[in-house]
Amino acid sequence: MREADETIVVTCPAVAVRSVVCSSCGGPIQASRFARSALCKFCGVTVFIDPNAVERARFRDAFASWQDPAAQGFGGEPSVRVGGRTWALRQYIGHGDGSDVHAGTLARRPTERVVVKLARGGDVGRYERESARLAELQRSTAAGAAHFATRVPQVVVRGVVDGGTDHGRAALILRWTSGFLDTLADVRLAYPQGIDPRASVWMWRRILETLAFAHRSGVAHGGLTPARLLVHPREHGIMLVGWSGATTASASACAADLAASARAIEGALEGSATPAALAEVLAQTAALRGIAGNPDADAWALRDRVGEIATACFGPPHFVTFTMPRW
Amino acid sequence: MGHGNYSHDAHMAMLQARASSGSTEVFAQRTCHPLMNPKGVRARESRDSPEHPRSLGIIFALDVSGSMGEIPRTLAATELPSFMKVLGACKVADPQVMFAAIGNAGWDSAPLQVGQFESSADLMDKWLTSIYLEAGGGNEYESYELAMYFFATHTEMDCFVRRGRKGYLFITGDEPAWPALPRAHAEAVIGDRLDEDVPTAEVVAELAKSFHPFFLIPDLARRAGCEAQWRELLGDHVLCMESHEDTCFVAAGAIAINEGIVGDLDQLAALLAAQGAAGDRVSRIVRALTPFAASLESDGAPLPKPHV
Repeated sequence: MREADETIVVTCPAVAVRSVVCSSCGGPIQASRFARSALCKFCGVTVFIDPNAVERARFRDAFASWQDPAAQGFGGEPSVRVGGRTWALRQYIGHGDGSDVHAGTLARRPTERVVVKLARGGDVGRYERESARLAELQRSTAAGAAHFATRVPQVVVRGVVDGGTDHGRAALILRWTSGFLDTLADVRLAYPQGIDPRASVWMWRRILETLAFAHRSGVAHGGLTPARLLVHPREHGIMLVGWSGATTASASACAADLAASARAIEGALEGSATPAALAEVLAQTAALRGIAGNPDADAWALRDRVGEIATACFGPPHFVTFTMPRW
Repeated sequence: MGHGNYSHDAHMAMLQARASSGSTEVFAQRTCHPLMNPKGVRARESRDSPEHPRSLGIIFALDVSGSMGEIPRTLAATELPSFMKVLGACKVADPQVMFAAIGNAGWDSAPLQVGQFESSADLMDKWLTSIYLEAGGGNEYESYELAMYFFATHTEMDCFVRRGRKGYLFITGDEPAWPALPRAHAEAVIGDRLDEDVPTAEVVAELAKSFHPFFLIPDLARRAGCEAQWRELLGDHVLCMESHEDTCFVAAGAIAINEGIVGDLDQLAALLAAQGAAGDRVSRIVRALTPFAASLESDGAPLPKPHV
């Protein structure tokens, strides 16, 4: 019996065997996973297996398979390759500010659900600016940052599509946030007679909380519109998206954010019987102009004031169900 | 391994006796327990048996450095029975749980400790409390990749080998993994001779063949130091908790969702409440699991509305 060194080629835990190459004749040998030796059927040599030798190639192969969408069960789906990973594109959920927006998922397991924004030409620096601002918010140490940083989009990766029909397009991939599917513009369409004013209170307060966090972190949104406010009807949550126009939080920029938030809420309320006190503060805020040191331009103070007005109009806070079609 | 029966009552009775003792008495090891030393271990096995014909391997790999030591203490004091109870309520028939502890292979004396897969309360508890809480830390990385390498290459589970069903790995931690597994660490700690260092992403790729791996961050404040790096590796399997006390319930919930035992988060909330979790706690657990459930479209939200 001759002994020979061996080379482990592949390990397959599913069937608990590994393939070994006979160092004498080069023939393939199937050895059980923990076998100390195996017999070559071609030349009759017994190959002794070093139980402690492990080859990097095994892990490299696993990684190649992990990165292959077809091997991971994502074959046949449209996809884009960005940042060295492949992202399957699912629903086309909208377009705006020069982007096509898809719901998507990382094409491997464990997976990651995402929003994929693909630029439609034009301003090439947009995603770079947007991701820089969003990163600033994630790094913020302002009060409540651990909580509020989850209320703004989180960047997964920014880059350029590599290969395929979308090759060369700028891409920004953001984390998916569960349940934020409808914009305030969709709310307006679903409630042509205007929303319940009690719902407008939580909506506006959620917007103001996030704006307060952003402003205290040194960032103003700069482009709030109903289409950039996503509503979670069941959780009474609001997310502010579309930060490509974000600026440094000057007094005038902060005041402009508050005014835009008030206009968005006014639009959603149009047609409903809004109590006078609430309508008044909305109108005052919508007319805000940036004045340095203007105390009305503090988002958190305004949030508290809205709370007081709501208590005066509707009594102590209590949960009022808000629904949207399909929920 | 994996014999014995789980009894919730027996487990609770054992822990009641422990309620008055301090953690130093419960975790009495002052060095790595010889039976938890991974050096030269061929494989940790999770096997079917007549009593447990459909075993499911579950590993809790606990970062025991510095402030992360609170999780093993909470598990040993109160929480492990909740995990088993919820798994029972989820009809996960034969869970077999293994405990492991993770430190830093650069300077800790026990950077990796591994127990055995067990089905009974006293044996699970024995391995958990045999962990040496070395409590190093203060560094920027822990040797999670070494632990993942061990689980990927030194475990054999009948759930996977016989039924093609992956096991579960829950790593608790608050640091990033090293970017690569140094071959020197693999040889010094486990005894394996690698021909090259292995990038951590490749270790995860190998691990993901036989496990559903999860990384649990104990609270939102510790997201900043590690979440982004772990999400690159594990995507929505990174679960940010709001309290380390929820570790067991979050892990049990992840299994229930992934196995399709609960259809969505509302059903999970009802199940947790029925198992005695308080309302605010149920909310915390549901929030921690929401991104993961969303990745499986089990979050209870409608599908995105296609734009026309």
